[in-house]
Amino acid sequence: MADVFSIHNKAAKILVVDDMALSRVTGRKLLIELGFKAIDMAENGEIAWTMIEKAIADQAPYCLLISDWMMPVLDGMGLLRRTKKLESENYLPMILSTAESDAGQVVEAVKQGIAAYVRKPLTRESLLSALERVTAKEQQSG
Amino acid sequence: MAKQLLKLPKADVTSFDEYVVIQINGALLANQVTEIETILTKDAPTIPWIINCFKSDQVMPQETRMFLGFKKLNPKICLIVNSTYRVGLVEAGLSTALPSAPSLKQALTTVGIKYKPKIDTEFINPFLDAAIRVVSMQAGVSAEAGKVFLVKEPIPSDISGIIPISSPIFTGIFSLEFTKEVFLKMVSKVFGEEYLEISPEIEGFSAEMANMVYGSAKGKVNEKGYTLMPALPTTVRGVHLSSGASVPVAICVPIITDLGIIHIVIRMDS
Repeated sequence: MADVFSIHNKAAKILVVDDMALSRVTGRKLLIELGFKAIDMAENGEIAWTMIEKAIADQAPYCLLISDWMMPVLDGMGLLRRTKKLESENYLPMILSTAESDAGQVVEAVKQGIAAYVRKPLTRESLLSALERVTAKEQQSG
Repeated sequence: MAKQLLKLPKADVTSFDEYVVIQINGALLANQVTEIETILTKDAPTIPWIINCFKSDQVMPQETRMFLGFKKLNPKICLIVNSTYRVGLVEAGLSTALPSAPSLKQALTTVGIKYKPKIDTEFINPFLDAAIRVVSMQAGVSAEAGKVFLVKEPIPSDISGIIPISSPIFTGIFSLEFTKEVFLKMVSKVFGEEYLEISPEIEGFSAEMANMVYGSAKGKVNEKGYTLMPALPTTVRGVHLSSGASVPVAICVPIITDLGIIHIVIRMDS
């Protein structure tokens, strides 16, 4: 069973998904700066999904997904749809990480059920704020 | 000179010298329609009204009633629509009552104005601001804009992140151009290890930087009625066509950083 994500749980397993190395590395670096220790990275939604399934099978599921939206092979929307079908005990909230400044993509993602979003380039403050929003949502729903 | 006359959650009205653009981004409430009509009849009663609903795919009765209401106030109107919406207008028997065009250029022609496209500071500044912000945040360096110039000869560039600009107003290319030296210094700083050559592993850095700049600037530019579409970035090695004397119009802004100069180039094709 996945731990409920909390910004205070620094052992929370987090998966950063982005086809661009820069964004993956930046996301990981900022999460480490914020004290998180268990951070994995994936290049697209398909690879991420394989990692998510394996983590569940290994009984060490991820608590949070931070994902880009536009990616080859399987995009953020496709990945979100798959995670929505996970058993409730493996529920996996997603933070959308996007370079888009138009509201359309974010609105669509919110409708699809993302927990929060953050604009690229990621900053410590923007990521922290998104993590806090997820924590608050998880506490409300938990 | 553009001047925003009204901004609502799902619509805005911008006045240009010879026409007004009404940008529609969703369903409007009756009082918001009245608000638009009031501002148009007060500030731009005689110049053509261009209604940009290019993002809409479906002809909605409430919306067409609103457009027909605009036409009663000012017969010089034209919609900017995509092909799906255009088909919808024809099917609804409204294509004559509501003239439409696929681009601003054609919409202006429809209402009798000669289109004069331009890349002005209003268009460039959001790219400039975004580039400074992205470069300084991602690379952790100070960055400032140099002097804008028209590209007349190739800009020294070993690798670029390129994004096609597609909009009903014009098409072109946005690129962020690096020399090998600056690129390697920046990548090494960001990734925390020294790179001496541009390899496939790191070349996507330029495309992603360009993507962040474009994505960030797009919202600001679109608020001014340009309607830039989302586009995928690519990486190009070597000097490319967005620079040089053979291209129609291209402007360049150097971004001066601690690690060297990066060039932003905006090329306009049409």
